[in-house]
Amino acid sequence: MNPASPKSELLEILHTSCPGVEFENETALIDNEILDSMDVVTIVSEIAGTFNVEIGVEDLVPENFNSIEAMMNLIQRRLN
Amino acid sequence: MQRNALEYLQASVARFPDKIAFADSDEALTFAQLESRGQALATHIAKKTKHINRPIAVLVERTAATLAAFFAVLYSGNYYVPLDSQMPVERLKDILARLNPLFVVHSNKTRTLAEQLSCPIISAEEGFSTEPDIVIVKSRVARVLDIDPVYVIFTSGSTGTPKGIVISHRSLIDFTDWMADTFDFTESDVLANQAPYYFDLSVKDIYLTLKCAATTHIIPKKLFMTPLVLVQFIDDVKATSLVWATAAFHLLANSGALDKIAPQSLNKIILGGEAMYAKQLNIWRHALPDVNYVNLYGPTEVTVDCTYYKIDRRYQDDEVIPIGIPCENKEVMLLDEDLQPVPSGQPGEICVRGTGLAHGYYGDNEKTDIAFVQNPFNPHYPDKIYRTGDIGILNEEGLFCFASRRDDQIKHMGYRIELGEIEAHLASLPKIRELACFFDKERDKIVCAYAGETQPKEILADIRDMLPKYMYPNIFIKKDSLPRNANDKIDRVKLKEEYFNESS
Repeated sequence: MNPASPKSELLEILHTSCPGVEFENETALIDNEILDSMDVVTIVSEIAGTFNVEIGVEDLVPENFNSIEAMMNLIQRRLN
Repeated sequence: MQRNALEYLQASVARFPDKIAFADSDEALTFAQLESRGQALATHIAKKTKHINRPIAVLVERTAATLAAFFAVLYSGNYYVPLDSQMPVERLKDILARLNPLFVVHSNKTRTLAEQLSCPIISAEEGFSTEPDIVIVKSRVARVLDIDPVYVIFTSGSTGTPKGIVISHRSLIDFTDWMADTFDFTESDVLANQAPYYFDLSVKDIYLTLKCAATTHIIPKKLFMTPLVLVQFIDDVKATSLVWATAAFHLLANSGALDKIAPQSLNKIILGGEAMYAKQLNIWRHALPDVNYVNLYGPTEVTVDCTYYKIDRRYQDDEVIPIGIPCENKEVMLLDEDLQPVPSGQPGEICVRGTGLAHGYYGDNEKTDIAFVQNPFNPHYPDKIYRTGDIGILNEEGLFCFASRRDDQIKHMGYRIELGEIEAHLASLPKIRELACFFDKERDKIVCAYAGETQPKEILADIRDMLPKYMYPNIFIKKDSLPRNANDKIDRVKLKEEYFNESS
């Protein structure tokens, strides 16, 4: 069995952390207030645990959480 | 003794007409502007209805104009019911059907939503541009007694329908006066508002500002997702006081932002809404050691809070922060199932009597009679106590501490939620045969175990129009059938055991 891709792992996190949100097509998750502060906290803690990356307070800006792509980019930057 | 909460506003207008009362990211309203807008919209309302002492719903946004609409409702001789404009339409309709308000007040932004609600609607913007008729407004306000309602706030209800808690002017004034005196609020205070206006926590920001002629800056919601920007905002507006939900206080502590910016203007931080953790308190204290920290406790039914604790010593990270001693004009008792006092040091249900007690639940005498009962120590005349359903304990220092809940009510993401309300809605879905919800407090997750021919994604899509997002289950466990006990009821103990065994 192939290991899950990082993107599908992230999607899994997002769907579990914030049930009911259609993440796939959203590009303004923060700006349109689709996610709230508690969602972001949960997502950050799950991402940090799953991908073994450190996400600092400086990373908590809308540009990093507005879409799945933005979150993937953040994870990639922290992995490198 | 003041009779009507609006007298706070009138007094501040007389003292500081041009001082900013409330500012949001788009506009700032002075006390004089707040009064004139309120009276203008009140005149508009008064032209449409002769009634006083009836509910008028207001679709709430994080704006100063929303507050002007609240005061307009009061100037019209009626009472306001703040409703979350982000709430699912079906839930709003459910509340409005029970409330049968004279009107729903909306803004240009919430007009489309208001039009879906099958109620008469009033545009706030249209009302604000009406010429105020002071004679009409004064005559309306003069007919309102201090025991009449000032607001009704809806919270989650265990049988599937939210409960509307009716609070009087007298209760609100009693609480606000106590709070201003106890924590030394003055016109030099600057508050940074966190709590949404459909939460009674926000009552503190709103009425302390009016009473003391303070200034409140409304924090844009999205700043809570960007902690550094949030602390910078608090610093920029030179906030002196945060009167916040404990959940937000914890969030900022955990973010690490206080290590970067510690707003030096702050002198008091007053918290409430759920249990305070010493670990997060210590992070704040490390960053801002000279601030006065206060822990408040109280359900909406006692008018915001009934106990307080000015934190006066250091706490280890694993210690429980007490909820303190009773507020003025409130008596707090720990009683057993038979409403008898528990022995000293033993846990008991927190029961409250005093000026702050709500009139009860709007349109629901049955629930009112269950929660508001005769004082067991005074059978001689009507004298109510409110049974909070919270279990408390008196510690060795003589301070009350919160211990647990008597029922299925939980605090999740800062919201008070009845699991029964979630269950009632899920049970109405045709593809679910049986279900039970419980709370994983440690992970702050609502867990739903169910049996039925459906998947979590489908369930969530189905409840989208029924429940607000914070009431969605976070974890679903699909089973062929749920375990039953000897009485053929769902065995919740076993379900929880299975869940906790698997997740540990």
